[in-house]
Amino acid sequence: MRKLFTLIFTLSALLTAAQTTTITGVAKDKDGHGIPGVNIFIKDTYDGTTSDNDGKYSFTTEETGQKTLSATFLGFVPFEQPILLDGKTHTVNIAMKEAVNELKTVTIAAGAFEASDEKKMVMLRPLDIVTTAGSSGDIYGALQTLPGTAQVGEKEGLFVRGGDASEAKTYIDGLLVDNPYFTSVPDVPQRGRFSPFMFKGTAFSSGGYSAQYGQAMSSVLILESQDLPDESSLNIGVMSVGVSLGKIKRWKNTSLAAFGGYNDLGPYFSLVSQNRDWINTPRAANGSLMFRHKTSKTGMLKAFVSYSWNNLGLAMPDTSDPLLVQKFNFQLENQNVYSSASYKEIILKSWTLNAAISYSNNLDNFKFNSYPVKHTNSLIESRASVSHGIGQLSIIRFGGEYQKVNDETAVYNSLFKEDYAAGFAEADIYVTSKLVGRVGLRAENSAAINKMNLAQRVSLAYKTGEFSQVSFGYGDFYQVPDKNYLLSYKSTEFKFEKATHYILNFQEVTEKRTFRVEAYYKDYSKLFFLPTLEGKLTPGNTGSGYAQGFEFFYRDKKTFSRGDFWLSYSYLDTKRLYRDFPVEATPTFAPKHTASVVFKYFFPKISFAPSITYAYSSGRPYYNPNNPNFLGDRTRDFHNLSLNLTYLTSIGKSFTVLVFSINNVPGIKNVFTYNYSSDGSHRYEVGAPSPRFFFFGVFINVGSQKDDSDKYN
Amino acid sequence: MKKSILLLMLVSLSALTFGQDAKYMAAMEKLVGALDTTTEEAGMVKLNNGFERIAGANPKEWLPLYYQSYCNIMIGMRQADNMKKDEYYDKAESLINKADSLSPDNSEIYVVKSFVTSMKISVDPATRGQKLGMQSAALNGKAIQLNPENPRAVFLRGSGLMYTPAQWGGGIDKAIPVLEDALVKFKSAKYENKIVPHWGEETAKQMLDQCHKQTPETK
Repeated sequence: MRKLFTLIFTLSALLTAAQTTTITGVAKDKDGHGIPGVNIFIKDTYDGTTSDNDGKYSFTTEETGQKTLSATFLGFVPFEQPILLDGKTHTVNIAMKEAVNELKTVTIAAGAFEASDEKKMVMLRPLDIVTTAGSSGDIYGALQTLPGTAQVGEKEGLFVRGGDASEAKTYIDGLLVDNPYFTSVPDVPQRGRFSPFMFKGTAFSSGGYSAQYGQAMSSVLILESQDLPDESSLNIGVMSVGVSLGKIKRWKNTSLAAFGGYNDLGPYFSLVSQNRDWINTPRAANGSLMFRHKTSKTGMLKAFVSYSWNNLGLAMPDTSDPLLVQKFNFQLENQNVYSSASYKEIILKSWTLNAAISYSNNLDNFKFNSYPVKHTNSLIESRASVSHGIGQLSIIRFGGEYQKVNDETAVYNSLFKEDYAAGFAEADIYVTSKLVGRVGLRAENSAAINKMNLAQRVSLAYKTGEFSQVSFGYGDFYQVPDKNYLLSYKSTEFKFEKATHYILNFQEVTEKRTFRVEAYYKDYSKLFFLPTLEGKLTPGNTGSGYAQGFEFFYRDKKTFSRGDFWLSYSYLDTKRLYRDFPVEATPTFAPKHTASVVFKYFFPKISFAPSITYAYSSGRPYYNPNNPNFLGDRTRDFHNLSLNLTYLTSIGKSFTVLVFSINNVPGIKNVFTYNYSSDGSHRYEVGAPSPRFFFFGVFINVGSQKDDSDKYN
Repeated sequence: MKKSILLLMLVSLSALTFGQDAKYMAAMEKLVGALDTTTEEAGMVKLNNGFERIAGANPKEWLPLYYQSYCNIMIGMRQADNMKKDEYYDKAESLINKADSLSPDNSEIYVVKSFVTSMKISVDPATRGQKLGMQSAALNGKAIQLNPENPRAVFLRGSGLMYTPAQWGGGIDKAIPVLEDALVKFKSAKYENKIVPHWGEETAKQMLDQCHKQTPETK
């Protein structure tokens, strides 16, 4: 009996006998400098210590056997190494590897401008877009303060680096948007259809963009819609031009939002004199529903449907009248439906799947004088892509898209049909965190022209300093010629129009300052051209052109502690021989010099944020039938100064934003172009639709301040 | 005989498990006690490391993660560089979310969630204020809703009001009664042991003093 106890005690004593192992060493970074504050410990135990100022450490443990020695420190990859705890002293020097970090990793930057809330180092935040004076809360308006875009006042669209508006495409959640702007009205630029508040990320590429996108020879604007809203809310907007209402309901993993708005410019136009002769002042109504559902930790389902209606009528000088006295009446009623659904999920552990479909339908009922013309356009699109991370940084992605277009102008009884399919594969290969290469291939097939193409895209970027990097971009970009030519010259064999981009970029992005300079050369070939050869019109893809230039962008949030300003300048030299050009010439949408200065300030005590934008553009070519030199005339330089005042306050418990803005404060009389009578004897100026544009709005987030502080008062 | 062996085994087994608990309590008490007196960064880093080790050895406990998150906020506040601040706040956020998954609907955890969100705003108020401000207030609201008697939840609301301009529904006048209420709740708070969250009283007092000092100017 006693023996047994003795045995048990001896055994247990043996088991718990304090056998002390000492572990000592230095924790160093890759340059051999000691790192203070590193946590060094035996994994899953209490035993460990913190490295001292020189990175030295030493601790003891009474654990025994085969264990894991761990070392952790913020910003470094956790270190692990097996260790045998045998009661002896071990010296383990720990080499800590810096963790891959967005800030320390090179990014593909040639041609790219990004606004995001999620990424740390981007040049813009989505909010910047809305608060930029002169943007009038329009995404496209704000983009005109960025380098590479031209200030074109007579029509909507992005005119990027000598490309016309049809060379720039808008994508929402990976899907092409066929009618991103309200239907074009002669001499009155239109806004984008989508509110900037819908998007959490905006990526604007002025060239050299990814193989994921196509059919844009100049530029793509990639918009990513918001995920689940943070909470339920009710928003009311009352503006000088209309009203808006939005209701968001948020459940745990699901949200549903409904928006509606009605605009009528009539009352405003009766108060403020206009440069246009309106017979029906613009009115518009819209409604949309947005659904979000988090299907799992990583899965997100989004659905969106919107309907809009607008109506307007304009009387303008009739160019068929030599004296331009008679009026030509233009009337438009537009109905537009845009719907889309997208799904994102991680499948098979490490593959990210993106799938999306959309349907849109646009109906324009025009009236030219009393002559009605009906135009319908529909697009069905589907897209699927997968991406897969390799190692810590590299990534491969591939996928495909399909578009079916039906476009019909009833009066001409002309029907345009397109079945477009494309596939792409792309890899971002990180040689180190400082050097990345992107290679992409895109194959496209257009049934409308019965042609196929294969485009290669290559980008390289190298981090030259802690915050600076150089990038190079190269790529081929194809586009189906304008559908009007396809319909007009049916017997012609059409090819894809082509642009090849070469871009060199240097940028330094620190938290408070951004400097970016970019130079490019863009070669246009196979542009659709209508030459008259030996007295015969010979349509075909025989046109060509080039665009070259450089751009500066500087943003500074440091010089003025509550101020933020950016400067951008673009130099553009471009000529092209295409469409009905008789000779190679600089097109009307290509100014040589474009510059803008944006300044924003915030007074926190009174929650007041003024912002001012000055935009300049040198004179642009215009067509003068009396000048034997084709497009040889230039308009006078363009100047614009816009002011935006934002005041944040609360009405009761509702967070409220008051916005007042003036476009063209000094009332400068800008001339965008001239329109000539058909015989060339008279002309009229096309300037801004009004000398100045005033906007006033109150936006109320009803009951957003859900604090119960009242009960204390 | 057999009985006594069985008894012995039982005793040693319970001693073993009791030993584990006691070890956890002792280690936590030491660190949480030190937290009350630590102010400089290096000390906070040591505490952070200590909580990290305890969390690793006790993967089901929420408190070590909670305190590690809190330490990361404290270290972040002591950084001069905004990017470093963000790194610590991101870390604090991921830790408190992990704690939340171990102990859902915990008022104290929601306090830290709201706290870290407010600190993120302070890095870049102009761009983050609007969105994160609402988020932080909502998290704070949930903390109060889960336990209206939690002095830290009330204190955080008061501090939020103090730093929010009057026209956004904040202001010193509004903050004072809330901070006073928080101090009452700090006085009446009962703590079941030495390791449950009990920080905040001193800071709340200081903040209230500051409010009182500023009131004559604003009035």
